[in-house]
Amino acid sequence: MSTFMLAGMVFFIALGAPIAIAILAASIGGIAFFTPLPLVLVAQRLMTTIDSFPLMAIPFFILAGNLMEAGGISRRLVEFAKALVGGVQGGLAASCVLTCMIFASVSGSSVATTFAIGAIIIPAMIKHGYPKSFGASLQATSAELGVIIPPSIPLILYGVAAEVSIGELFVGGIGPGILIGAALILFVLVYCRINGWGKEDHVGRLPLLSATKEAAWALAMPVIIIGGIYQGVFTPTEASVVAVVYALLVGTIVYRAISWRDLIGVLRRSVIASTIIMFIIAAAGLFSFLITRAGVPAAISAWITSVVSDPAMFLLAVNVFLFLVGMFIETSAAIIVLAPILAPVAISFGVDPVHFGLIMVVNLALGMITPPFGVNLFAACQVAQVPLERIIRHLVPFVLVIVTCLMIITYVPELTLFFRNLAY
Amino acid sequence: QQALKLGYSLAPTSHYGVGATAMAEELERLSDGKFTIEQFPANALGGEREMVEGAQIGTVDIVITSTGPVGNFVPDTLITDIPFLFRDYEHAHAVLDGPIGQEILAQFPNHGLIGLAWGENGFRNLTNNVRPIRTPEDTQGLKVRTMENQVHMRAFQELGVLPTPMAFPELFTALQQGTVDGQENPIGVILSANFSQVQDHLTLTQHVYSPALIILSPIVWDGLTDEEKGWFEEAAAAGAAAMREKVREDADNGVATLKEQGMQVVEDPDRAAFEAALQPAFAEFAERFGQDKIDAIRNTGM
Amino acid sequence: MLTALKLVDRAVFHVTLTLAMILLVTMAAVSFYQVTTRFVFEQPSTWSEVTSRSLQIWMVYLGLVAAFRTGSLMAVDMLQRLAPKTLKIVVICAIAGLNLGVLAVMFWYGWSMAERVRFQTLAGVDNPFTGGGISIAIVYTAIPVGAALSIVAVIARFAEEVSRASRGEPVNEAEARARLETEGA
Ligand code: NA
Ligand code: NA
Repeated sequence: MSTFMLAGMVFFIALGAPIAIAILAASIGGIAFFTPLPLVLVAQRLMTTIDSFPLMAIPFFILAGNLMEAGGISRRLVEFAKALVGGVQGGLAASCVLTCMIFASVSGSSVATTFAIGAIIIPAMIKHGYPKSFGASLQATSAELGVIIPPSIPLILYGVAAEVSIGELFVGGIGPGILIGAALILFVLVYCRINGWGKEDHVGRLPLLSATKEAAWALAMPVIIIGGIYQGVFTPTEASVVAVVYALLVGTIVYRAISWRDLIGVLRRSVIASTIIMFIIAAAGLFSFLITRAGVPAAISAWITSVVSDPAMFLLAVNVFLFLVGMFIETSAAIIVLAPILAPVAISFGVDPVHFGLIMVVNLALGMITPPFGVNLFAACQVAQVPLERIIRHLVPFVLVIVTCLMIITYVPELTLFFRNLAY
Repeated sequence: QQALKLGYSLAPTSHYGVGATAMAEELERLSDGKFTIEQFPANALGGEREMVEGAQIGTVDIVITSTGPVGNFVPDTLITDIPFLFRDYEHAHAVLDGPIGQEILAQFPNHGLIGLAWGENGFRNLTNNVRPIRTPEDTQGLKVRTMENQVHMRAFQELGVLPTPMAFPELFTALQQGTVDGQENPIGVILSANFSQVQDHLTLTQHVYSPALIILSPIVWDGLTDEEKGWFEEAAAAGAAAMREKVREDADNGVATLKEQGMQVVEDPDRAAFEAALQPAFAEFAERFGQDKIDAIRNTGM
Repeated sequence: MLTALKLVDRAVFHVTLTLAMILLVTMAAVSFYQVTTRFVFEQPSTWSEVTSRSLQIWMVYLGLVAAFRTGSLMAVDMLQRLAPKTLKIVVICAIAGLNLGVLAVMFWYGWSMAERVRFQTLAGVDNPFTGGGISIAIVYTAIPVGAALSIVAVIARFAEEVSRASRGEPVNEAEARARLETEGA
């Protein structure tokens, strides 16, 4: 049954059906042809999978990201980042990474990060003479940080699926987030110098002091969100709704940038974007129920433990496997299906579940920029108005940078666990 | 030859796992291998509410669950949520295995479920990070995570506690960061969730006795002969007995372990004072569940 | 006849999207209320969590209509972009058929599930008017309702795509989506 379902799913996806529909169609076929289960199971899983409080962070982070863009918070963060690191050749590209890092510390979603920052930085990069396709691939890659630096929806999903403390996972994301951010900044500075891009990046920057002053309300946001979680004011999930309220208040009262009309547009986009993701998650919930009930997870973990004997080999195998999965499957769906299977095996190999969570999330976040199916690519292409085929050339070096970071994160657990052990 | 899927929310090593294994062995023995049980621990088949619903629609065959979600299906089970209803383990077992408990199980088929046997989670106890709790005065103003259970929340409100429903995966962090001050669970759960790392005080309030239920899908039940039905009941009884034994063991060793892990334990709080403080809530429960039924439980074995 | 169908399509799209937007705002308001009552007023709310979860389910299945209508659901559309005209139309038909089939299952069995669970109550909330429980069926109903309305959206979208493909017009998805979202606003 599982083979049939997997083959069916891949076929429908290749045909061009919506991912969620492909997953559902394959699952419905599986139920009807291979099990005695009643089809009301479809309705049950479509409801119960998303009947989850932690999952509410998804619509809220998407809404917060859209409000931040409409309210001028994103623009001020970009100005601040430019004032800080934008003075050298390639400085604008480096500012893109830095802005994404700051934005990531209030947003838990990469797609939200791509839309909110890309809408501002990609046009700026084009104006400064960068190729459009480079801007789009840089934005897509940097936005990955949205789910690695806390807060993070995939880390919440992993925490729920593998029953690991979400607070610990969040702290664990700090080290890997800084590593990837720093690596990307370093890489773009060199890459821009080689290609001769961004020679005029120092032009039109605000002085640091006035940029900081302008961005003060925007910069206070990460302090409030992260501070609020660790001061016990709200839970990691509730942080997402606090971000919504803060972005709304700053955008309307302080910056006076959001009109009623804007607000309606923001809500429209947020509803549609949330629905798209939640529907995939709901569909994945049905799929994972069926393969769990068929005993596949137990069989896979038994197989892995029999084939692989040491933790280092296990982690390498998992990374290769997840990279392939990430090419084709959406991050949230992959985590819901795979975390309950892989986390117990990792624990049995002596891998810390928080460390393993970060490996999974960094790897699957990489899947957001690997063709053929990468949500960040889709979002960045949409923002930059450039077809997918054209940005692939610039993606290769970025993927290599992230893969290198992933290997460091995998084999230097201290990078993840240092802050965790400090805080817990 | 029929392989049944049995789901529960805890680890295979927990009292649910022990009960499931005992039930599986007994059923296989009685049926001479005709019925086997495949276990799905740790919510692999969904949360407790979903698994009970799954038994109803036939996607899960057997469920071991706390009574928490069952009240939404079979309202008669809610009566066990009343605080300080059971004096001790012997009393609870006498009630649930006697006519009162069996009468509640007999209600299950009316709600599309088969209740095979009463298992156990044990008495729930209160932990917090603010102060040692001995009397109802000590609980004033504490934010305590409770289950989404109207009876529990009502009782805690009467004690001046601020009951806060919260998803279990968020609870550890919430306790650590002080989003809530405390929580209440049986010793086994406090131990397995490592709450001693984030909670200073444990009071053996034993405020609610938490039974468990072994539930069978009516779709399986309706296909059984009378003899086979007897096997299932007998096997479930064996599972429940094993579960209770494991709970007792865990509770005995658990308190000592939690002390070693640094928790301050109040072993003999003023339970009479708590009961007295709950009188207004008891009056409401009497109206809701019937004073006669409550008295029948209280008088069992007296 | 055709105008009537177009009218139904537009009405369904705008009504469901507006409702979903209101649900999103309500969800946010209820969750924020939860944070403030617990932290500021030290009076934790007991009903807010289950309420916002239930609203979320309705938001998703009503929002699905707009997602189908605007063609926003995530898909790998390489085949469609690269295929010659005839094959392209075949693929569009196949996908629409698949969508309709899945939505039909969601509608039929969603309805049957809602009926089966109508005596089960939601945990954590009582009906504020009667003091009794609230049936979980009101949450489950989101699935058949959303699926039925999505069927309208899929058919409307299908008609548009086929006529476009047969004219051999390339479409700028982002622009088409934006136009659809804002028209009549
Ligand atoms: Na983030
Ligand atoms: Na990918």
